[in-house]
Amino acid sequence: MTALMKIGGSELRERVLKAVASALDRDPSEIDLYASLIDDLGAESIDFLDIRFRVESEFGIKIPDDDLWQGELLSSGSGLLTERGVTREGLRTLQERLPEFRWERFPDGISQADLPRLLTPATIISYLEKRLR
Amino acid sequence: MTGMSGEARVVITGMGAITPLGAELDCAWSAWQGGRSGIGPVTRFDASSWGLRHSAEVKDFDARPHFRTPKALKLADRKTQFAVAAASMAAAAAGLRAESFPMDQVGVCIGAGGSDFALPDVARALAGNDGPGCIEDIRFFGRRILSGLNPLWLLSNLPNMVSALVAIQVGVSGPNNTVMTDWVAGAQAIGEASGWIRSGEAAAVLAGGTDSSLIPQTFISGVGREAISAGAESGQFVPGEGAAIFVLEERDSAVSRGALIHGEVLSYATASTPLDAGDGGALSVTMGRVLREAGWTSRDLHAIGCATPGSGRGREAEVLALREIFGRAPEALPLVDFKSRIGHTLAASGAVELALMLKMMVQSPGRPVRALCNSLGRLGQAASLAVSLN
Repeated sequence: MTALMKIGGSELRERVLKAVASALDRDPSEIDLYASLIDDLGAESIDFLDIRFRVESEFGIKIPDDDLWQGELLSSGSGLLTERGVTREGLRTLQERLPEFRWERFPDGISQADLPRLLTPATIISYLEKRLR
Repeated sequence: MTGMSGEARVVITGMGAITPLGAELDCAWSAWQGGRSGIGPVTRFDASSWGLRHSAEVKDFDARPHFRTPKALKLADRKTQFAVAAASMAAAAAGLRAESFPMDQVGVCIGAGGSDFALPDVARALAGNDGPGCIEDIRFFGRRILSGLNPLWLLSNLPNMVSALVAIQVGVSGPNNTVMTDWVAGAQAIGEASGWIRSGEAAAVLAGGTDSSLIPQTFISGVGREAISAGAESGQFVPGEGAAIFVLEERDSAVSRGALIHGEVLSYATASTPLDAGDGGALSVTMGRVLREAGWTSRDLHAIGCATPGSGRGREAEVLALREIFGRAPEALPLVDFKSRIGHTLAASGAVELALMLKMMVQSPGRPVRALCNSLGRLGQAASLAVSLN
């Protein structure tokens, strides 16, 4: 069992997977916690609107724009993200936060535009765990 | 209106239809031939208190197999699902593939009814659970709508979603238009699309119409009232739903690739006059024009599709128009009344009835068949299409 699964708890995990699955027209059982929403699950920009709405409705919260990126990935003011992309230290931080992510996808580093590709159901669960604490 | 002489000839090489007689054109045609009717009790919602108990509903329809990316179903209301399904069937039947066509030159032109608006979702959002308030207070209204209504609601209700989603799901990227002229929209879309082929603007076009009257607010906003006042229970006006989409292309291209030709769009005209002028109005103008351009006399026709249901101002204008153009009583003309068994499919009617007409024409092999398809809207707009099968 991974760290995130311990943090998220099974009920939280199930409710998030259900919301993601509904938005992406999939069965919750076929969604990997660490699948990239974009690269593996085919999410497009409008799907993120849908996922956010479903998660907000499910948990009775509002998620501000970009809160997921800033809370769970890297904020532009952190010094870990520059105009040229994610710094070496930033990448190390990300890898610590997202140990299960398939990092081999980015052999040449990560640009700012790549950040949304790092979002997975586990990222949402981790975010909610902090918000709902 | 589009001129004919010396211009490219436009043919139909693929057809797909969702109708109250079947969610597939061959099934619908078999049902028609078998004398069956698509009219029955309203089942999609409770209309019992409205005095209208019959409609022509599409039954046993599943849009999912027709969507290349099924998650896009959440953006598609009922009429958009019909259109995508009919378009994907038409494209497959015509062999419309990247190997045979430059897909960036394949357009989409579809006549569509108004948006669904998913009013129950809106009502639920406005009802909220954070205490009472006044929906005329814009802050209260905005808070409820923004927190309770999925942001995709707006996208799925955009009027151009029909043609946009058809293009995405079939994989074409040429000219794209949605025609929203009420009950003449389907015929106009086919006519306008034939102009795209003649002018060389598109190599092929997915053209047709789609609509559903089986949503409560469509009844409320007019169809129901119209149906009730026209005597729906006597079978004269029955609200229907469905779609038909055609692949139009230039005849030489179709012949050279060995495509099966289902018919030729010889001429198209549209016009608009008030319905209560006491004459044949726009419909006599459009019928006169398409006959002239097709080079036909009034006695050359084998079939004329009825534009209007059994009674009302529209039917009176149609009867006058037929008398003006053909100099004969309607009873002496080869009229075909598809609406009597599939209801009025509204914005889809020009397309759905053309699909059934073309199937009917195939039943007369070995000789040229000439038909006229007419549409007449509630505001007096008319459209006529002359089609032939050689």
